[in-house]
Amino acid sequence: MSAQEMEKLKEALLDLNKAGVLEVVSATATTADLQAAKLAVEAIAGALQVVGKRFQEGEWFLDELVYSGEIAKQAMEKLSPILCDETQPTQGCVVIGTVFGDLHDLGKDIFINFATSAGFKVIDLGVNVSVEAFTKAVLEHQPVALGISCLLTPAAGGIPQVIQDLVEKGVRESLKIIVGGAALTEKFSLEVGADAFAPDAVTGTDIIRAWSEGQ
Amino acid sequence: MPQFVQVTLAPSNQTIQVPYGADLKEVLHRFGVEFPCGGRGRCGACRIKVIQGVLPLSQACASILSKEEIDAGWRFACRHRAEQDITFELGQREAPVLTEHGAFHVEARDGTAVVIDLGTTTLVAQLLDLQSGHVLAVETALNPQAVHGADLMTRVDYGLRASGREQLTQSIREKLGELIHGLIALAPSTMDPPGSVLLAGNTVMHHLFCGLDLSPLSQPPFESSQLAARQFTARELGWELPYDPEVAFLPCLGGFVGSDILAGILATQMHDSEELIGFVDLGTNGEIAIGNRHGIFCTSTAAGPAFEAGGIEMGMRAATGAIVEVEKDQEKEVLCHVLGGGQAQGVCGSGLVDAVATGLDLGFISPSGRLRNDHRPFHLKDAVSITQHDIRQLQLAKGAIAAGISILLKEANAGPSDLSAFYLAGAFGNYVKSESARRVGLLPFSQEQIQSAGNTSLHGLKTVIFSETRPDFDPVLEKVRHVSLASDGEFQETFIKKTSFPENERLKD
Repeated sequence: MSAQEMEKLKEALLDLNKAGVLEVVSATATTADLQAAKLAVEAIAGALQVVGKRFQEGEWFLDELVYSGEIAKQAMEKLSPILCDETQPTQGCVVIGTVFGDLHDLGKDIFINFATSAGFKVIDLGVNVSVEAFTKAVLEHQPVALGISCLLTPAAGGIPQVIQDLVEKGVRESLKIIVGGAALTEKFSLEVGADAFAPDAVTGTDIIRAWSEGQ
Repeated sequence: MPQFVQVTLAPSNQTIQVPYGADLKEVLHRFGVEFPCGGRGRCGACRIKVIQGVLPLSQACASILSKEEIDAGWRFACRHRAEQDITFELGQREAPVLTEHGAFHVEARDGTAVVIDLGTTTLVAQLLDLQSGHVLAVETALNPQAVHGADLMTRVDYGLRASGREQLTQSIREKLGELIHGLIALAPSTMDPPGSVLLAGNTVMHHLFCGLDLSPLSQPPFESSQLAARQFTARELGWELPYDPEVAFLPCLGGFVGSDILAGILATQMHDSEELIGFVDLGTNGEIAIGNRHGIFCTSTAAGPAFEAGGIEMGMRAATGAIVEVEKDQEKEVLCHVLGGGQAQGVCGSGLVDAVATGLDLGFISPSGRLRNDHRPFHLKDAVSITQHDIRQLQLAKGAIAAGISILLKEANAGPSDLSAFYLAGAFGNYVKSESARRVGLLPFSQEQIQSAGNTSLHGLKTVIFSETRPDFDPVLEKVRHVSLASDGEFQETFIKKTSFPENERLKD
């Protein structure tokens, strides 16, 4: 894949031209050229960084954010047969879930899309996740970071319980905790012992990237 | 020219002093009078009959009212100002009619009754004459619980704390007791005190008023086993009223769908309609129902306060100085209508929807909601503008409602054009222009389908109060199915798409 083709792929994604993106990656996939596929992945990741920036600057909104993530996901699926053994995430592992008492997964799912594109291996625990399930997943996967989502005010009290259990099991020190969702504020998040508050999925991805690269 | 004039409402003889030249619409709004067309002199719902004093005939009245009506003293309140002492009757209280589809059958009985719309934000109580069906008095107040959280879930959270629920229960009972005493004081002394009190509200309001355990409403699956109608005596609630009337709260339909939706169904007569109809009550929460006599689907969705201009930088309620209407003229200049006619001080919910619709038409706002001019605020009038953030807030609110409607239509196996009518309830629903609501993608219905319905909670309560026998709600409840959006994966996808404006078609494959 030439620099020009990479630029074309990136532009198609930033134009939200799904057919254009899938055409380029399908052509790449048929050549079974591992190097080209890697470059395509690089172009997609680069485009998604621009998407994130546009979102943070207010240029784009949820619809474009989610749709671009969706296109990227489909493109990656086309490329995955060639990449097979090369899909080792470059950034380590993140465990994420929506705290018990809450069933919302919209923000969490956008975050997963962006974190995956940024090279993280993401373990999604789903919604209404218990204290025990969070701790079990942390012990099992030893992630760089744990993400907890919460959109309902009455469920927010579950977050300190999750953190407390991690302290008691002696694993709190070895990982970073990031929380986000409409029911939370930065002040609350830091008071209950989280390391960071994510105002949106894109900023959240930036934060865990900085953590991962800082290690 | 006097500085103040007296406005008196017959037959209750409530008198208020207002500044000379005050807009009668704003004066009467305080008495609970509704203006379905937004005070544009079109619908005639704010008819008043002058008994003492003179109101010069306005053009709108001359073109719509008959000669007999004009001679009898009928005028439209919204087209006049108070320029001398005046006494009049309110047409709206004489004929409590919702729409041409929903006139009440009043089974004449002795005595009076009170109906109360117990809203998350606003409380409205009316004293009714059971003989004539007239509204004798209206009292409104803010819900005193709102200091413990404007939105429902924050309120629930407070109610889960030690003594939190008792506090919330006590404060709402006390406030409503005050309103009822206020109604009795306003009523003509010849009228009997109320023999019964009937309330409607969402499920959280129901549980808090009745003093029930809130915890089932705070966690999945957000259902409660205590949804039934509840009866009290006034004394049990701490109300010292003559004859100790019975107080009843209508039954809830589900955890997030309360008797406000039941009242809306009764008001629009959806449960008896052969044709498919729908309604939405646009407040902090959007309550939506679509159906007919064969089945009704309903849901509620958290829209946030944008429709009430909450969280909007220059947002304000529809009062003097608020931009209530925005349109463009032929030269593509932006025209704003300011309530009271003076300097614009802010924008209300209907003005915000109008402004965004106009901004889209003029190309100032992109189909994705971006302000094209380098994110600089969209200037409306005087010092009032709307910002990028305001547009995003509206996109989230309208996305939630539009997605809710889309999911219910799908459940009903229907398209937007299959509905014979779609009713807009609530204050915002009264003021918003249907073409703007359609333009921003809030409602997928045509202007002919969209109709203002006023306060459907009160209308629904009145259908119960005025009916001959105590109605049996079970046949209605059996028709209703609650669609939970929280656990609906399709809702989230639809919501995201609906945050965009309609022409963003490329994203809708």
